[in-house]
Amino acid sequence: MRTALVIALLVVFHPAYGQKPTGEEILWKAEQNFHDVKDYTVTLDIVADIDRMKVAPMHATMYFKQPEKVHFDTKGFVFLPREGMGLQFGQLTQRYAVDSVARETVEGVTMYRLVLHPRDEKAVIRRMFMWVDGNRWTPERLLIPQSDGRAAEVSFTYQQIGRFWLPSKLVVSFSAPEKDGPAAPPNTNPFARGLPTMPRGNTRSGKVTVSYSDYRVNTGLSDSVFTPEPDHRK
Amino acid sequence: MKTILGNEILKTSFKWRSYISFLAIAAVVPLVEIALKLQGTNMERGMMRGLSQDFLLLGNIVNGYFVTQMIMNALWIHVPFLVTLGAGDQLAGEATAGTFRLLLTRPASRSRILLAKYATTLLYALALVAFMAVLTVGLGVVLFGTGDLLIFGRTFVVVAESEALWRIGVAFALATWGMWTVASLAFLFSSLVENGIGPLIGTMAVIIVFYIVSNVPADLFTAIKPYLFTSYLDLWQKMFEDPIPWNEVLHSVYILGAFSIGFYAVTWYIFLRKDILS
Repeated sequence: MRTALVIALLVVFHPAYGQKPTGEEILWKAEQNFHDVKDYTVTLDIVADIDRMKVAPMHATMYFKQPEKVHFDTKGFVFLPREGMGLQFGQLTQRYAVDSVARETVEGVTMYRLVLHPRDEKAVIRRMFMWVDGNRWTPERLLIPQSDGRAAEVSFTYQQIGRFWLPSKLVVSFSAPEKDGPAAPPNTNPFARGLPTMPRGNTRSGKVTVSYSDYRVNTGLSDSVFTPEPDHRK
Repeated sequence: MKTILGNEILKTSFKWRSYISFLAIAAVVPLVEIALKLQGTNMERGMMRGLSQDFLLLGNIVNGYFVTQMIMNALWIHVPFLVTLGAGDQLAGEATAGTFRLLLTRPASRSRILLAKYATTLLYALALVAFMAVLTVGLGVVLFGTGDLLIFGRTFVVVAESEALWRIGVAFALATWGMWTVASLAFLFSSLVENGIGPLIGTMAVIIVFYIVSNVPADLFTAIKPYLFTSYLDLWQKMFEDPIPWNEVLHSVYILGAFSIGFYAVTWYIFLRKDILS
């Protein structure tokens, strides 16, 4: 009883108590959640609902192996959203630097909103907003402003596979700028501020939903799975 | 009737110029497909530029079905020209060779002879489009394999691999239907002249002028457009829309059929009254 009281007092009066973790700590925790996932195989079912596109539901099998080996098996044509699918959970601290952190409560859950920028200066994305669940330390939502004024919004849903929280659903929404409407005054989009403006191209808006099922984690995938096949089309 | 038709088919198959169109297709299709093969991923990259910005694209995109659908665009101008080469020669060829009067001295009526020649013309167009279909799909599948069919248009459509082949098959059948209307026009012109070049130039001139008229966004031309047979020659393309607009396909089939019958009826009227001197 006395020991418990001492620990409680130590925690309450510890200088760090009540302070929010730093951005780097949050990223590190999110990364650690994925640290012991050495490899996995998962079935992807993709449904696209995008302007001026008529595509039947698509299917693929994804193979992943640390640190960043990815391979897809598809029967037909498949397109996967780069935003969200391209997020390497196990390399967050290596790939992104944190500009700022804010704590929010969303539906009773503590969320940390991080403003990130890629460490790679050549990366197309210059800034990204990430919401991380403060309890299980999983990235829940991404907002990625594009250089042409569009924004991609990504939301993750998770399922627990063994002791790991792995994505069960990924929804990526694209918003296209109004082509025929009046152009937005410069620098009115806070996410696009400071970004080079590019001509509006053949942009589309819509939503892509990727459902993950039939996870097989840490089965010891061979490196040969990830060996690129020779391109017969050349 | 069978004997006359058999004779007409034999006559057409013994003329070397009947094979010019087949030789042209036999040369162009492999050339285009080999060029696309050599072009490889560059073409794929160029086509998918708009999508690859946001998406990781997987699968065999430039496959045999895709290449076939691309080559089918030759059905606008090139294939009608090749069809006309054969169709325009059916009646005018007899006049040029000076065999018309000899042909008409046979006991068969002019109507039967004309019908046999018309049927031969339609068979010629059918054989040409079928040859193009088999060569394009066959070589395409050998060189590029199979896969889902991607259609780039105002709407980007992905046709599942399981549906692609039958859609292409029906598209070629519909293209044949359209080519029969073109052949019927060339056959009509063939009844008016005594040289095979005339129907060829005449038919192509009509097609090109009608295409231009159809595509100029002027109110006058918009009003005329429904009355031009060229407005319905795109019926094969509807097989690559999703969903397939069957009502529009049927409408085009009826209209083109009516034009074909109309052209044949006029030919018959002219031919029965024609003073054959050659």
